[in-house]
Amino acid sequence: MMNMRRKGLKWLQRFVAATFLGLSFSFAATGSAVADVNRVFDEDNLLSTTQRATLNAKLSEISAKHDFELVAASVATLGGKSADLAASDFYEATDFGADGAILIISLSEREFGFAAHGFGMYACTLDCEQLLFDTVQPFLSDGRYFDGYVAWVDAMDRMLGLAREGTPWSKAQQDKEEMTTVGYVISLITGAITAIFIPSRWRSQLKSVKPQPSADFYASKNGFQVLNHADTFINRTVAKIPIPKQTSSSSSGFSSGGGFNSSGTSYSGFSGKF
Amino acid sequence: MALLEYKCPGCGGAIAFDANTQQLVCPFCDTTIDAQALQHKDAGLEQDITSEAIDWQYSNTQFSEQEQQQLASYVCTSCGGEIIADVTTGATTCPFCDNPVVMSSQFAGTVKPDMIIPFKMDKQKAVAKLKEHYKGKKLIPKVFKDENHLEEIKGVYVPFWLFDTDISGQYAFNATKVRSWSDSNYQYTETEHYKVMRGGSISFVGVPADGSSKMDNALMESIEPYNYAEVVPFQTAYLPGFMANKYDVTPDEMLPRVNKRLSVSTTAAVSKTVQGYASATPAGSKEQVTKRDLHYALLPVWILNTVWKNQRYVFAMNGQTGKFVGDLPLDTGAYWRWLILLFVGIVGGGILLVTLLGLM
Repeated sequence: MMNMRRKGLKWLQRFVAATFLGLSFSFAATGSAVADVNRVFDEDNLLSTTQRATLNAKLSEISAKHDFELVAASVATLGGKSADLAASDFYEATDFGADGAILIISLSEREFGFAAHGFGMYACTLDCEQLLFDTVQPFLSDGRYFDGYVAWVDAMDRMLGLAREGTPWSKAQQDKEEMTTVGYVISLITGAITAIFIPSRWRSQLKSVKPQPSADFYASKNGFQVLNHADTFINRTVAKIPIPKQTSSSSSGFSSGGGFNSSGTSYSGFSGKF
Repeated sequence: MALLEYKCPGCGGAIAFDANTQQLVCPFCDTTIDAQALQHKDAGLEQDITSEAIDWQYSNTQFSEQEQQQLASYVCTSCGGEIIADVTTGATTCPFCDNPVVMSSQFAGTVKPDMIIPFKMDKQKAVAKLKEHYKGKKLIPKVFKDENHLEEIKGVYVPFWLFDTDISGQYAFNATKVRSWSDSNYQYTETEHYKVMRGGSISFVGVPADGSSKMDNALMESIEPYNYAEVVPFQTAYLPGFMANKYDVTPDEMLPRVNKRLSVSTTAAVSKTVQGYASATPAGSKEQVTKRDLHYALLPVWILNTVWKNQRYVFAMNGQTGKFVGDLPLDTGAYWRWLILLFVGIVGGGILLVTLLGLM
């Protein structure tokens, strides 16, 4: 009886130890796979060491989440290429795989480019490219390059999520969502105003005893008889308010690109100035 | 002759003024008598009150000295019963024989009204108007309409002071004219400032002021206006069947209130003459009253009283035009129910509509 108990206890100890070791090994393997790959190529030194590490971790996390390779880079020069072509060539040179996207920044030329390969071409529509440009450009113009990269990764996370669900992001869809939100807010405000106004009006109907503010009933029908009048000009003032200038997208620096890169691989993307 | 009682020449019964026929009617034999034909009854009223032999007497043993000053007792000429009434009461009914009686001394001499507007609306009309007053008002407690019973309905000739006045003066305004235009860079707004002067006059006829302290001023103003085209010289023959009071508020006491109303109307009337400006703000005036005429009139009012949850609700109806007023209680529960129901309904409907449109 005692032997049976000892055997059972040993078996349980071995099972727990094996399970613990197995889990530890798998966690360690996964962690190193996510963190060990370098996805940040900051050749122009726009980021600090800490920022590089943080951005790399974020790129790895989102890449793993969507099974899609995200790369961030900065270069001293675009080498006479358009920013999107330079981005596509850079991505292919990193040898990350067929499905991926890259954001590349050239500070000397104050240009940045985006290129998407494989599934990225499906996920990043023209509307999506415009949105990425509008998201990133303000940060780069302010010299906040790390924030620009992070904003791009967050936007890509959302775009890839929608594309994986089968509906790539589009401006029309976005407008529809915004209109729906506006509709809900209008419903709420209309409901609140009506709910307060109508019962208040009904309540005011209960009060009919009010002093007469004037003696209009008893004034002569001719009203005030004017016997003399004078209208004297005193002075004139002129106020002028500047009219805000309209900014068009053509002057924003956005330029849709894409096609085939230097090695003949197809890609989609855009170039932008900041 | 403290009490004046109008008797039917046919059967000798007490007669009363009928608002529908505008004549005195005998309720016993249906004889009708034109009020004008009884003008001789008021012949003595032109005499000064102090010269009359007043045969009212005070009940010294029943009331304190202060109370005595507020009360007067009369002896009914029909049944001999003692009628105790407020000193300002000018017409009432005998509590013993229900005969309408008129305290003619209240309207004699210097206190004789100049004019009267006879009742055109009767008691039935007042009751009908009360029911109409409840209609369409969703927030009156249902039990108030179901349970409340009128405690009292009385037709009262209320003493009013009518002020006729001409006001003339000079009025100043700060006015502006505004013009806007734009070019490719700026939006321009040009404002021209003017000093505008207007001189002239305006007349007011019969601005009424309640001359009875027993009547709420706001209640009396709420049933305005009266149509003065139907005013007739005062005769006690219009009083039988109704209550009537002598004034106990002097014109001087009511003058501030009247002046305030006149000022509002005058300013509004002058402002109407300042045209062609984007804005005109009153900037001072110098005015004077060039005519001051005062009339003492009795105007017809139906007063309806009811009590609900220990609170008295008073309604008033203009006895000439039928305009009916009176504050009503609020069903607080219904108010909040409607508020929540409307909010939920509109917001729910809106969200459903937006969602359906979003799916399309």
